[in-house]
Amino acid sequence: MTGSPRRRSPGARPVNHHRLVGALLVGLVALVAGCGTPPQEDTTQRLTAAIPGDPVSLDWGLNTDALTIDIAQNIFEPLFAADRTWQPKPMLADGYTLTEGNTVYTIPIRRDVTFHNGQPMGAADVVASLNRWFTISGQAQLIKSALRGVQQLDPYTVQVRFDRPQRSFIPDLASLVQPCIVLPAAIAEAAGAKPLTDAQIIGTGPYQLERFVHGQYVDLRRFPGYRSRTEDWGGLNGRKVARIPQLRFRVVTDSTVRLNGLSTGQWQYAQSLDSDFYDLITGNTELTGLPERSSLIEFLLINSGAGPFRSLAARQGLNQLLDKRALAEATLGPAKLWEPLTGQFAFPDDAAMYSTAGMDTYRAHDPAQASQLLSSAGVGPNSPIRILTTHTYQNYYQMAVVVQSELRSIGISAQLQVYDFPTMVSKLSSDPGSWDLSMTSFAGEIMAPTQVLFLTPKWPGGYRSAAMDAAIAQYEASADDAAAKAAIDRIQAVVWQEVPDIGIGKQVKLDAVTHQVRDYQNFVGQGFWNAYLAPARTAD
Amino acid sequence: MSHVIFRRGRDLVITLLLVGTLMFFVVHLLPGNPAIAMLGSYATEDQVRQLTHALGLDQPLLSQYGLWLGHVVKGNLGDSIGFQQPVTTVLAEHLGPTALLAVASTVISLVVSVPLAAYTAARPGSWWTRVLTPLSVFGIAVPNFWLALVLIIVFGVALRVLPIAGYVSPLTDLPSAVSHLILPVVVLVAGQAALFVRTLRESMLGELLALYPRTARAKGASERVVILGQLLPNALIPLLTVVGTSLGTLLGGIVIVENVFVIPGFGALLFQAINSRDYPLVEGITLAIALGYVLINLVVDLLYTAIDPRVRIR
Repeated sequence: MTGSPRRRSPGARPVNHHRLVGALLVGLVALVAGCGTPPQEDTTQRLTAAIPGDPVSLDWGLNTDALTIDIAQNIFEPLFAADRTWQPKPMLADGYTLTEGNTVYTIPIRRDVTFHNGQPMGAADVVASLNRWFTISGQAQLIKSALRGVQQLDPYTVQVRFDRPQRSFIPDLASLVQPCIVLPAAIAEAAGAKPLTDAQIIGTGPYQLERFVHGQYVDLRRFPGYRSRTEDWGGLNGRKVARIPQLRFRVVTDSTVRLNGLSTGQWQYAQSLDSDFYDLITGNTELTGLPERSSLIEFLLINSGAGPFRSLAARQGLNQLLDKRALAEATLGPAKLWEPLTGQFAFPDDAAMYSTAGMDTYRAHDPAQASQLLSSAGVGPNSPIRILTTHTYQNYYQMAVVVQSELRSIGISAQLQVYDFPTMVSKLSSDPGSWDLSMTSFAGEIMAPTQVLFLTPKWPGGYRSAAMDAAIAQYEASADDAAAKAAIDRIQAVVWQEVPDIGIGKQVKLDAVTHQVRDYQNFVGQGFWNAYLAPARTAD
Repeated sequence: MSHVIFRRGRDLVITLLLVGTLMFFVVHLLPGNPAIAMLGSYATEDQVRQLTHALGLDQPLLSQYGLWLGHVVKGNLGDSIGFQQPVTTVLAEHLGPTALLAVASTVISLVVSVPLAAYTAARPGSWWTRVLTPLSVFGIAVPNFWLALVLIIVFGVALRVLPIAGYVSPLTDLPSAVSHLILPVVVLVAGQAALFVRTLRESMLGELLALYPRTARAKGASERVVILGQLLPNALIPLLTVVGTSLGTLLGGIVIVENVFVIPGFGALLFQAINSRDYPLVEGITLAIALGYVLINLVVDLLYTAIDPRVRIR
């Protein structure tokens, strides 16, 4: 850089730069002051929930992602739905009878139900919805081979016939993932296997879709024609009253912004906050942290269909190698936001599905024996284990690093393959030969073993087992609760013996609400019925 | 002139064709599938296959390309898989916030940077110049997500004078729109204005070495006339290039700023479209961005001739 002339021409009037800068600053302050406090709407009329992503679709019957389920449970209702203890109870059905050797389900439906388009619900709608469910639901595919037909007996009764007993049928109708939501027949038939369009989002729930601006927000409003059940069942069922007139689910991808917006009152609910914020939230008297009561079990996914872990000894060796508690401590955040798992595929509060049969196998942690088992299966320093993971969910990456470290500690080489989440999911199913271990999460509250995804055929990992097939068949044929529980114990014992996957821990999602939100049922997702908003406190 | 317009039009078509074709194959080569995004990560392989077929995504890639190209030639960019709307509609809805942010921040940056650059060039040894020069380096160097979070914490959370996130159209509520725009615009201006100041200052310092300022002064022209009337116009061309590039980049999507401030613009849209493997939308956004770049460059070229008649577009 060179110098430049600084000479001022004779007679030139100096510019008062200080005055100019001062004027600019005053202008800026006036602009900010003019905006003042952001305009606040009447916050008792609309609850805004900040959610971390955009639901691709609101089709609860088809889309399996949490974002869809969280919102759509306010709009749609299934024939049967879980109560607060995760037992399936009639929702739009009025009960059911089981006859002809437990193969024929006769399901009367409620007569007081109206769809959001004003059309009353009848048996024809339920038949069409059941037919769609048998086409699109993953669980339904498992029992479809036994299906003989679905028919309408009268305007308010439907009948479903099977070739053989299918105990999981009612629980599967009530599943949290891909339940049998009831749609108007014309919509169910028109949609078929495709996702419902926004115009087809017509349910029977306490809220109806008002506007879905993709990528920005989903607006729901109270459905005036809603007729609630009267029972105090809780969960996704029972008495529901839409006390808040409007709900807005607003997409806010950044966790810090979700928390900040909660602090400033821009929204009243923030979902999936970073676990690092736990102390910040509990230290703020205006906010309440809500570790979600129902959450996910983090699993180490094992490729049993290809590669070294086709060998049972290799899988058992891996189970012996991993210190599951240490793995959970290292990857699942603050102690208040995870619980050590004893390896079940269901949580203890899910009494019908919870089992501890054979738990000692899971708990065993003996690196020396692990090394022997893995070595006997041909897994060693010359056969690197490929761990497929992602940075999108940091705990998956951390889990991969810890597993890699544990494998290396006994002389087994392991490579991380890190992708974005969509790529990872795609490779899991479309390129099964490219990975040996990966990570996933499963719902820990289920109503039938058909909802344990890694036990189902065609789930990534390719687990197949005659022992498991026999145990599941025993469950499907069980005639009463005691027989079903015995089958569940047997299934759990086979899981620990054959190690299709390894449960690591229950990770609890951290949500938070402002002091305004009252009577919110912290169950699963964001079912806002029965909650209400107290007036906002005035700022000091 | 008509010859210029014809040639530029031809170049535009070729550019869009190349960009569109390249992007079509790149997004289809990415692992992942829109059906998985629509069904969720717990969907079974059969379900994914079924929906992939229903969406026509199991057709051979070349026939999909032919179909897409045929539609694009007719001005039809197809339907977004995720939005379930025509891509053109989705683009139109998201262009407004990005364009407003880009234009507002560019105009404000120019308003701020031109006088500052002129001042610092004219008085390199002054106290203000010594302050402003390192400040401009800071403005360029500071990451905009960091500045955004600091401003949110100060003005949104602590002082509570501005909303921390969201977008309101000026057509629906002007005061609210302005209050929502202040923080993101300030973040963008910080980087842009600093770049403009440095560019223009360097250019003006170069012009100061020429003979004509000395001649002007010798003829008795005031310093203000020399700086503002003679040096500044001649020094504007490099700034114009930088402004054009900067505006094109902003229109192409201000991903981080839009995500932090929850502004539904092109950046947030592109991020979402890539994550959900919404092929038609990714292709549409790419074409729109390419079109924006080419048009802005054309405008910049035309402005060159307006500022400096010696420049001729060939």
